Amino acid sequence: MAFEPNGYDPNLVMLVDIEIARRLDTLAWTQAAAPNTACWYVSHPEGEPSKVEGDGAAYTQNSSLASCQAGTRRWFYDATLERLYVHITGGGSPTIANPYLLSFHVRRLATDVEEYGGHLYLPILPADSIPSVSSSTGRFHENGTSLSFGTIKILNGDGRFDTLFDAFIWEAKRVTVRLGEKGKGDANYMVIFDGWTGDISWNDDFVEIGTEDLRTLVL
Amino acid sequence: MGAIKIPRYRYSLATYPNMDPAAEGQVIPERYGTLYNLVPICIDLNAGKWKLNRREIHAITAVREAGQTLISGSEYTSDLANAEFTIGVTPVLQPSTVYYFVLESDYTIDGVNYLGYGQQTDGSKYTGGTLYYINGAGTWTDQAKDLYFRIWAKASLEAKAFILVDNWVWVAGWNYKALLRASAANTRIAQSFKTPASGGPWYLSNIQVEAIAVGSPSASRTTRASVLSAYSPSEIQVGVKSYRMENYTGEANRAYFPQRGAATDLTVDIEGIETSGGALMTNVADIIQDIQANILDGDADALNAADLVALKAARTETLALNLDTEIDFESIINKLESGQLWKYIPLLDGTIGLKFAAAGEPAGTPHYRDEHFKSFKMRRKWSAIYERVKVKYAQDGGSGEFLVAEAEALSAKYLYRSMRTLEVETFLTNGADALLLAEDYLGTSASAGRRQYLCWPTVEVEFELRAGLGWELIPSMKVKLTRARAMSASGALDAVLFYVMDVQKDSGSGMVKVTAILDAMTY
Repeated sequence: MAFEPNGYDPNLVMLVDIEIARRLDTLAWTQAAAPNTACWYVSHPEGEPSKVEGDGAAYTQNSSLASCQAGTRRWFYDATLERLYVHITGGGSPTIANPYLLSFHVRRLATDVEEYGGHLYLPILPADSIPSVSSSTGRFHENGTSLSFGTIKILNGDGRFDTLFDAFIWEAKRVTVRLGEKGKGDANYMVIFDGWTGDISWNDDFVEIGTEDLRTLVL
Repeated sequence: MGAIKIPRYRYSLATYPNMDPAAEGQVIPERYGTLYNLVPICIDLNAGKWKLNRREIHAITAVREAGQTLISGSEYTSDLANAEFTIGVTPVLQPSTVYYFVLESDYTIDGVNYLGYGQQTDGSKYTGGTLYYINGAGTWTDQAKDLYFRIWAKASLEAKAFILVDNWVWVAGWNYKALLRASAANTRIAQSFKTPASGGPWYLSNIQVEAIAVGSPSASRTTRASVLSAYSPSEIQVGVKSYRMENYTGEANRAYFPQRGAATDLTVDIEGIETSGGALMTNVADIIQDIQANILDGDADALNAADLVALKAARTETLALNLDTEIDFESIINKLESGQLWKYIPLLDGTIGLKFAAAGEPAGTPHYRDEHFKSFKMRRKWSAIYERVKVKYAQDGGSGEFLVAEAEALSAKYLYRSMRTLEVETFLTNGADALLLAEDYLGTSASAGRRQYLCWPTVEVEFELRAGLGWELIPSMKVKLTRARAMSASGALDAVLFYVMDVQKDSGSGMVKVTAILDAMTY
């Protein structure tokens, strides 16, 4: 069922996907056992990354440690041991800033209990915090294209997010916001904002994540 | 402070009655440090006097006219106490007047190697004058001959040159035997001529003669012409000598004279205002103090004495300020602050503080804990991240162009996707200082002390203190914060220092609101 809010009591739910990053090159790495000694691993309890980047460029995901060993700029995730293996150029251990190495995973937040795309969303956004979206442009001679979305407000009374902004990089990460009616299936949800995270504001009760127009950063 | 404009003095015809009228109302510059390609103002068109600065300067290191560097002493004279220099003016010829042009050179007097000028041996063919030899003692001797010459002149400095006096009819009786420095008797040679009876006055453009080199007079010689209005009882020179004749085509056939009017193409390099000890002033603390006392005519004690000493020691880069247009004093302060990472801040003791960030906890730093806060927020400001910093330095006095030193932080690009560039315009003069500043802004410089870490999100706190607390705070002070909960690696703050940026004090509620950044990101 497509998204068709009737304006009476649509029971809207906002789903937010933020693809946050973890910096890996500052961690202590362990060399994989022979014969895969060009691969190094760290514990990666966040699960399988959505992507791995070195110096801003994506590494290639591989389905086995052996194939990771076979070429540089590759990664492999061992779900059983929760280990992330990487094979950087040169085959050595990643060291600080050589290269800048990031793994990404998606944090899924919602204004209500909901499942989308086979993923459960954490109902931690205040129900009344769905911001308005504004997008506009001028005539061709006027320029003035803009897209704005408010901040993403997260409940934080229990301190759940206090340490997470140091543990992961939340700034300048891709954020996708969908809106739909609860319980009407995936097709009901439609994207209302696709952009970047910006500044982060924290207090004892809430965290607010600013958003930036897609044009703000180079895609 | 924003309404205060400097420099505060202007050129006026009341003060300088013979100055270039176009300069009326222009500011008289205040210049610090070593500056290049400055354009002086002519304050005496008759005397050829130009001014560079309102007050005494340390040195005039070069004067150029149309790109040619003039020689100090012989081609210009400096008056450093008044920041002025004088260069002779273009010779002006009056009608129906006898003048003498004199040719001189500096090669060794030698009977084998010398210059010979074209002459007519029949002295009756030109009736306007005669050829003289001038010996080493300055005695003039009529040779009853005449040089072949042309006097090129102009009705105005901007006009086209024409032949004013012409003795260029080469007929029988000519040779190249008007000898210059072949013997002591012709140490110099001169030719008199008479200007037309009508018209004028005329600006002398050039004198055309024709020479051959006999033997090999020194190739590095300098031959010049000058014009006299009289030679006895003493020589009276009209205007300046010509440029070096060997700079032009031929052996020494054209003597071009500087064409100097109010808009003359002069550029000057200087070393500006001096310290009280007579040294060139380049230190930021000295300059601030000098502006306060000698430009603004303010109380020298208004600047916090201890801060002046500390700033002078901590910020030692060599500066150059070319204050040649009216500008807000605050703009200059801003540029000085951002160029050397310090702040000009009013203190609560009635003085102006000159503050810079440094490691450590100053004595008396207030420590606020959970019970002291009425509200508390933290921020991570991605919008304050820069990938690249460009520092503009060594501004050219003529073109206004800067040199640029640039640093980048890959962490900003790869971790935070920032591709933003911060441009900082400074009074720095040295490329190494400018590069270090760029690196200090990003936090990538090798040594600690001034690093600002703009390659990372700025960690900022904003809090309100309970009534009665924090009234002593001002920006640039530090506060120590302890909180059971915070946005940090540990989820708390345990006696963490922050650097105060903004303080709002509400007398109605008695509360103080403070914004501060993580102290470790300020030095």
